Amino acid sequence: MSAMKYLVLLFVALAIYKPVKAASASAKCLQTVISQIAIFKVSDLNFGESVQGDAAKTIAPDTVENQSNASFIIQGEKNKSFQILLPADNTVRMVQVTNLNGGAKLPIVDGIPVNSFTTNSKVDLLDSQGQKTIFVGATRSQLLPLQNIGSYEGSFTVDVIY
Amino acid sequence: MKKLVLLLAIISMNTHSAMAASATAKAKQIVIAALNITKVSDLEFGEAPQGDVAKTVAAGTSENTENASFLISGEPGKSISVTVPLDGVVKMVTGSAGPDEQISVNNFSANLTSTSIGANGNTDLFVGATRDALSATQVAGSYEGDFTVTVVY
Repeated sequence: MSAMKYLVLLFVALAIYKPVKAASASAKCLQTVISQIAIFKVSDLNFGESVQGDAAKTIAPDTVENQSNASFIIQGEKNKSFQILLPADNTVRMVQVTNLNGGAKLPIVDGIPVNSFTTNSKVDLLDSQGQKTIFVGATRSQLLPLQNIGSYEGSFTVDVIY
Repeated sequence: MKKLVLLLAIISMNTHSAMAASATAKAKQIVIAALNITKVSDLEFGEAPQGDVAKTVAAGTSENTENASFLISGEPGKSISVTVPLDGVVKMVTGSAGPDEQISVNNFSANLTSTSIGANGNTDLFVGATRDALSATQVAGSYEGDFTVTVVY
């Protein structure tokens, strides 16, 4: 076969051949947007009135609001579970804010430690309205026999995460 | 690739704040003064002959030679209540506390100057009681017995 014939054959072959130069498929971009989680304090942790030297006092978290336990309302995505993070021990201390004797306030080191923070469940579930109320308790240490009389307060923070 | 990294960074920033939240509450405690009670004077029935009738010392409203008195200190303005011994509990004895060496003391009564601690952190308590009649063969001598008064907020 002559070279010319090969060339003609090549052109014919190229004319018949239809190469796949491109292909396509579709996919979706997916995003679920959920409500932000938020937490608001409803009530403080109230250890009430105790005499100097009083034994350690524990407030149970309980399952309803009462005059002692602290409570918080959580708002977020309906039916979504969340975690509750409570203060670690040795991080919360109530310090004197008023002195009923009118004397000098004690230094912070002489405040009243609050430890063993508890809640009913470290993992909870937002209800069908996207809400949940949680209750928090803790233990305050024994009071010193000569603990300065007066009002004591300390702040503590509760974190919630999805 | 840079766009992808930027997108991931934006997604990360946007979702971070929505995933967690925190709230702060207070822990509160009021400390009040401890309650103390100190004896000022004993209950003194004095001197009586064998066979003497029962004798009552009234609680009274001020210190006298017979009534017992106590100083109570605590949180100003705070209400208190006092408990005195029940009947059949307190006996004065002498010697080896034999049958004729005992005298029962009953019907304790208490009188508080105020049912709450005064502004100065104190209040007075006066206590009286009745000692039984003495038997005709009551052993002569000095008789003593302890009694306890309790005060609570």
